[in-house]
Amino acid sequence: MSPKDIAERLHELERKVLLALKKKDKQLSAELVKSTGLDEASVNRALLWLRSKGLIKLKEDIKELVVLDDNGELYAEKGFPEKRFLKIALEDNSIQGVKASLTKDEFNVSIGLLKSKGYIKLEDGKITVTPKGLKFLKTQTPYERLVCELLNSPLELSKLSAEQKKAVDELKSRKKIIKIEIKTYRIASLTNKGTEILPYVKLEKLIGQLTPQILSTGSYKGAKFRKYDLKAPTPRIFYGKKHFVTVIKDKIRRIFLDMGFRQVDGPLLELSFWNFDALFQPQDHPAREMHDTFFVKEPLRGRLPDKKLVQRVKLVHENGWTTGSKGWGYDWSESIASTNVLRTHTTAVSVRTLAGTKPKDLPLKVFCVGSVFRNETLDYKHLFEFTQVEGIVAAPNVTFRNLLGILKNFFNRLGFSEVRFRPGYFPYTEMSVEPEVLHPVKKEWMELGGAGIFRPEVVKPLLGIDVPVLAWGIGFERSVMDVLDIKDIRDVYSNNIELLREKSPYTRRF
Amino acid sequence: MPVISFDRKDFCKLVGKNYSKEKLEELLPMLGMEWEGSEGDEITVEVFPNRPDLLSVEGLARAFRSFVGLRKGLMHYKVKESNYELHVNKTVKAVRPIVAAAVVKGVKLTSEGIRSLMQLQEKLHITHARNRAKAAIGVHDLRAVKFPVTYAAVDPQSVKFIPLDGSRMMTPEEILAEHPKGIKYAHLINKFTAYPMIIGADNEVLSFPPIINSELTKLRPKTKDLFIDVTGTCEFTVNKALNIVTTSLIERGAKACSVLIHDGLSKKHTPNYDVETMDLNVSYCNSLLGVDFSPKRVAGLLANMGFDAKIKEDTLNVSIPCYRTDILHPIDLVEEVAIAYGYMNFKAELPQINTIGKELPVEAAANFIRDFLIGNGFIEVINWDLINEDVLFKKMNAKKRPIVKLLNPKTSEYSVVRDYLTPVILNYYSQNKHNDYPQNIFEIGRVMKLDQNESTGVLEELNLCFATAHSTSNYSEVKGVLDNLMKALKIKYSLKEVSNSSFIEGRVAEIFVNKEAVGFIGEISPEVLINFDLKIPITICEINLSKIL
Repeated sequence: MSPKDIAERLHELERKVLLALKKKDKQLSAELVKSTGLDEASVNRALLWLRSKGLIKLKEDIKELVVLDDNGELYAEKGFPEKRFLKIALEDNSIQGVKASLTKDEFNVSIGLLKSKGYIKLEDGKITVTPKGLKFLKTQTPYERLVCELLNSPLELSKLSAEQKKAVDELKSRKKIIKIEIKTYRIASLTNKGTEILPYVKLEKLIGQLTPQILSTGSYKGAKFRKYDLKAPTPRIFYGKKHFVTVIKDKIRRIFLDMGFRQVDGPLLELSFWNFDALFQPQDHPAREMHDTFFVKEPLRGRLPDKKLVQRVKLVHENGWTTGSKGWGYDWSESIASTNVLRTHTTAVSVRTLAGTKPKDLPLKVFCVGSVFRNETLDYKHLFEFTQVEGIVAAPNVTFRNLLGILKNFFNRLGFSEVRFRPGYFPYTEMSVEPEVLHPVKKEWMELGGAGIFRPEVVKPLLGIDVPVLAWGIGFERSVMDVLDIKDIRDVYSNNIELLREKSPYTRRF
Repeated sequence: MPVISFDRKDFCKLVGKNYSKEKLEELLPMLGMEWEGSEGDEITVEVFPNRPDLLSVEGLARAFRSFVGLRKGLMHYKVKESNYELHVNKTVKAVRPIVAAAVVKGVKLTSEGIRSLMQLQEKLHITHARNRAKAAIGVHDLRAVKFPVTYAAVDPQSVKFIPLDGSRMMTPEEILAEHPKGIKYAHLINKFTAYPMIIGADNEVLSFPPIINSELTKLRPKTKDLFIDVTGTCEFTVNKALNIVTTSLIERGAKACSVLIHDGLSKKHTPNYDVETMDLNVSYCNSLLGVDFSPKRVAGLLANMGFDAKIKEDTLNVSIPCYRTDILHPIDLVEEVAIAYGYMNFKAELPQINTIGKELPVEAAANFIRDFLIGNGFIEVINWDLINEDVLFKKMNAKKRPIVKLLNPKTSEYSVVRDYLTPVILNYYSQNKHNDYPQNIFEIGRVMKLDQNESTGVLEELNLCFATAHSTSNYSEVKGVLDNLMKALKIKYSLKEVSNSSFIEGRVAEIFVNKEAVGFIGEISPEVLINFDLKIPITICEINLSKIL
């Protein structure tokens, strides 16, 4: 901006201060209060604005000042109590009389001081002022002089004369007469840039905020508007906002809905039966151990579903039932199956959904987005509660190639144009697939979930018939961390409100 | 999942062809494992838990060799029938009934060979054998074993031996109490009065399964012949463990001899390398994979995975290697076919199924409410479903009530499930007391209450909680938002003053919809604010969405 442009955008306060500095450069802020006629706060505001624009320099000076305290002010006006004591005593030499005219404190301080200096003598309740006392009364002491000077203006501690210094020491020992204050002085001086714009700084009537009044009176006609510094920073705005987790969840839900999937949901606290047994996970499977799964103390168990289904699941574990499988060959326990857990995967929801589906209702395309739990200690890589996204397609003629097709389409929609597949392992799917996507920016392959076709031992007990059920899930947090550039997984569910205010889930990728 | 490490050169020697590290990094994952990393020629992979036969470099090389077509089809391992005998005493029936054993001769215990054997034993124990509960493997120097050996359960104080790498004679009882392995695995046998023991012909202890071997039969640099025992509780696990270990040694050039297991009633020779078969219907395979392979093609692909298959029209009679544990159903063979064909060679194709997408009505409603509150300047927060009783009761100045409690939480900080949101919202505020106000926030989240009518015994509901925290937060401000929200949701509601120890008396009301209490609104009491270390007024409204939507 040219000097003229800068000058035109100055606030009225800034103009006043600049014009004052034009008359005399290097002024204390206190001087500027006088020279501009503005109050101290306005001067200070103007100084900070001008400094941020590089038009002035502010030198800050810290000074120790001697100022009058409460009693000091009083004595400056009425005289020191010891002097008043003497005056009264000359008129009425009874102690009672003097006492009546001074406060208790004043009397006590004075009598001690006067006696010790030999200015008075006490006899039989009478006060005699000595010649020394008379002389003391008539002459102005250095400390009295100091108090008079302080009444005019505070004095700088470092600039006191020897006599004044002595007086300060003397008064400091007395109650509330003087005090030392530390004060910051700002000395404003023009910078080169500031000097350059001075010719353009004028005090003219400019419209600041446009008001209803200006509009209704028409006073804007012919008036000039102060130009704004359009790049000036603005005060912070606290606005409402969805959690970025919700935003990304919604985006993923949208992908499923676009692909024709129906959303389903189920309980977070689940019977082991639905979380494990119905998925053909043997009851001694390591995933079912205490260190991986949250079990529930209250209520410890729930009720198993209808007998027919329970019987099928039992048999499929024990000998494969009619699925053509060998089964696991052990005695399946209803008691273990009825223990409650916090669900370890949303696959529990898929399984419940399959159990509630009749063969005639096929094809089935459903998805679930929800919390799952693992008995982990919270650290930068692990959460004990996180979000899983899962979809299933159940239909008589779907194939492994269809599973790969869905995965490809799904990940394309998530913003990954390149997808590749390799064998994986999940206890309840066969084929099991580990899909990997090429990160469009980092150009690195990353795992983003798992997929497979449910085993017949899973499907047949639930549906009554064996049809291919394609299933896949993605670890949701990885997507969030990627979009928001978060490195520590705990930050995905951080309790820091500033992180929510700052992070934006906006992405052009999906 | 188990991780194993091996030397590339050793691997290639076993495979019979040299492969670069880069080529292995490309090919091994396509066979079904994760490439963990490498350092020089040292390669680390993560093996899937259903493939214990891949837990040794020999097993990996065997699978890889057929996968790349160097030696396709079933490996026919031979056992030389021998007269080594193992007598099973009936005392083990109640303790650890299953035993199988083998003698393996001509073992080249090079550093790579011994490392692989130790690694295989350890990883099998952890995974396949479920931490030695289902099976435990003992490896002995044959020279120190005097036959016939006996497997019996004995009084824990009746024998003494020096445990492997130990320095003094100990009784089994002392080992369980003092030896690190004893302490670690004591739970597997200490409920019995007699402990399982493998004892040589001269009454010397060879091994104390599933805890530790005796120092007596320790492998030495000159050891060439091994006696291997596997004991356990599951016959399948025991036999497969023996097959996996012994065939790995055969892969390195050793020869297996049988041991006659004699329990007084019956006799059998182990190891048993008999091949099991399973029929695979080719059309089943094709329809699942979405391909049109001929029976010959499928048989060829199975050969790449180490299987033999006899073709009978549309059906293949497939011979399953004696070391495989994971073939339960023909579907498992279909996966073998898919892996052999190569996942990347399948043409991905969307299914031709027309369905219409539909979101959960409650999600749509929740998003409507989110948009409404965001318009009112509220920030959405998400808290864990797990919290602790201190926050739910003590800090809230509330009496205890029945809630869902975890059996095995890692920390007491997260040991129960929240039954309403207000406490966790205040907890949230206490974690943000140093951040700028105003903090107007809301959460829509699951809460749990005990309820016998539910099959799990728990009723899960969706609650909404919104709150303002700033220097002039007050009831009327939040009630204004509630009024507008209910209007937007087209719900009529009424308020009734209640007494609630978490709120300021006279500034808290219950929200009623159709004569049912569905929530509350009020100013948090100073005592509760101080409990949460908060120095700012907070007003909260919580509504049970499951009841009003």
